[in-house]
Amino acid sequence: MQALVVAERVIAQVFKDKRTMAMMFLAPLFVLYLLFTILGSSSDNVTIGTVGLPASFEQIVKEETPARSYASREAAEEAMKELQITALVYLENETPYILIEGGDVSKNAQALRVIQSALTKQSAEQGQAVNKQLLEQIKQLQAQLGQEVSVPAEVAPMAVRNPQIDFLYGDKDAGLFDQTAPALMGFFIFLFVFIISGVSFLRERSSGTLERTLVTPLKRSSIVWGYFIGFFLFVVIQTLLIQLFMVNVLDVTQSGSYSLLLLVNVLTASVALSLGLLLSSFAKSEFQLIQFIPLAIVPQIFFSGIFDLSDAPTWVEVVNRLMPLTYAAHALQNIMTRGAGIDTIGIDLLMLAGFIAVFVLLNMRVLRKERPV
Amino acid sequence: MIVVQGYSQSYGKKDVLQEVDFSIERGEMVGLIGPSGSGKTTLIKSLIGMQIPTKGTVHVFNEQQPTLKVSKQIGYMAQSDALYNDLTPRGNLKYFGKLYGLRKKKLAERIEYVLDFVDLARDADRPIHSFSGGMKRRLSLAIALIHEPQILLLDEPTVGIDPKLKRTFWEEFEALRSKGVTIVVTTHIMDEAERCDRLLLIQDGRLIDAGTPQELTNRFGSIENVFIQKEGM
Repeated sequence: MQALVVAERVIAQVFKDKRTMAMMFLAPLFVLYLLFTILGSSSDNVTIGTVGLPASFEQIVKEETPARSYASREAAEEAMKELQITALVYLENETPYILIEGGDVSKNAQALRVIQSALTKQSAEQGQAVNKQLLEQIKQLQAQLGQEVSVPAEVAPMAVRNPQIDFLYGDKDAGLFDQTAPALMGFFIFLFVFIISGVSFLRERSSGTLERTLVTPLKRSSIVWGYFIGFFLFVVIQTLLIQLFMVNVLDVTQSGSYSLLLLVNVLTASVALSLGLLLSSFAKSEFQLIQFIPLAIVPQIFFSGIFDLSDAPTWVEVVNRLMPLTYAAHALQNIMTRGAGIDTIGIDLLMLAGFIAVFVLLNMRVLRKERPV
Repeated sequence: MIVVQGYSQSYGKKDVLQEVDFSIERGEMVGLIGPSGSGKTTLIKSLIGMQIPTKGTVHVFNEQQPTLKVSKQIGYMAQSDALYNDLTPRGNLKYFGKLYGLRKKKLAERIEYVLDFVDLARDADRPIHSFSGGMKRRLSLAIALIHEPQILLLDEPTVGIDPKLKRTFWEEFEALRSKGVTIVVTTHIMDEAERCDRLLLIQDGRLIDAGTPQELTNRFGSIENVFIQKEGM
């Protein structure tokens, strides 16, 4: 009951503070949109230079990415220095050589991929052409001899056909953003809720309103629950907005259940809320609270599944398991890209709930310093 | 009403208060006088029940502090204004009134009463950030009074306000006393001390003397002299 009084006041305060509302609702959308644009525009923008290669090769490359042919290697290398081309392919003694500019990791990989697939495709086409010629000659021989010649099966051009590629989850259009988006969604929800809840609780401390609230017959736990209930409303709206924006506007793959996604996000936000309240009691000012972000929040993004940690040392694995975002990101990624259900991500939900319980209990302990009963 | 026995308070190795003994009767206005850093605020905080005494006991209404049982009987005004600047004065009063368990009609009545008492009725719905320091102080007092407390604990209530408002404040305190409210007020301003019924003089965490302003003036020449003479001892 008393918790509701606190909740009502928290809600009234947030409503009065338009900028905080905007920060909560619009800032994550803006940042995600920015990231979407950046990740979406970088990868397929390579130009490939060729010197003395057959026109057919250039044609194949051009199906995927711009290509330019140069009269000499020197001219091509000059163009590369001016960053006009990312990679250069040339022939020496009938062997293709590839020279990569090397300044941009994602472009390197992209250029290599395009060149290699083009080379494979061309040799396949050449192979097919040779096969075709052979079959043609066999037919001519048959006609000349006037009798059947059996052709062994190995000669049939199976190996040179292009493979058909299918995806168990997602499709070939899924890019870097689709892969990282679920984890980033969790991260931004976490970050913004942490900042807002931490700063508002810190202000209560420094302005003396927390002390004044604690001299009333209010129970300590009611303050913490009041903040939870008060922020719950905003967290649900924020989460729904981000979810809708990512799935409908940014067109991120979402193959799982919407409500399960919401549940994970609300739990993630609750962890951030309880951590924000807790850490605010170890900060003397807003400035000191912000200092917790690079220490306690930013490292979590490294562990949130954006980077592959399978070969990481043991201590990293231990740290990884202690980070709430690890579980949030795991759950979000599995729901969105693999359509996972409660059976796969149940353990993640339990872990997140566990973090909330621990942080809330610690919060009540810390408030004991302010008022012993 | 308030009984403090053998009370000591330490934070870590630092002893803030040592062996303090006193009692306060209903309807008294008691001044806690002492230089800054002498332990006045710590004493007030133990009376509200914000800390566990390191030694000794603090009783309020026969209940041993800290306890939530007597919170409804105590009004507290801290040195800082402690207001929610995002809410209106009325919003602040409503919130704290509700925390004290006031509901609907009673709450509305009390809000009007205290707003009138501190002369803020016309500004009740204005944003607080447009308030002057004095207005914030008055609102802070109004919040301390919202639940009709029997005991009012005031920590430096008149710091940083103009002489005219200071006089109004003291008139208000006296009006409350005449209704039977017990008031404990900390100050280091001597003309304020003279308006109290009784003074407790604190220095370096010890209660060095007590008595009516008249008694102390007779014995030492003036209240200030008490500190100067004791310092020399």
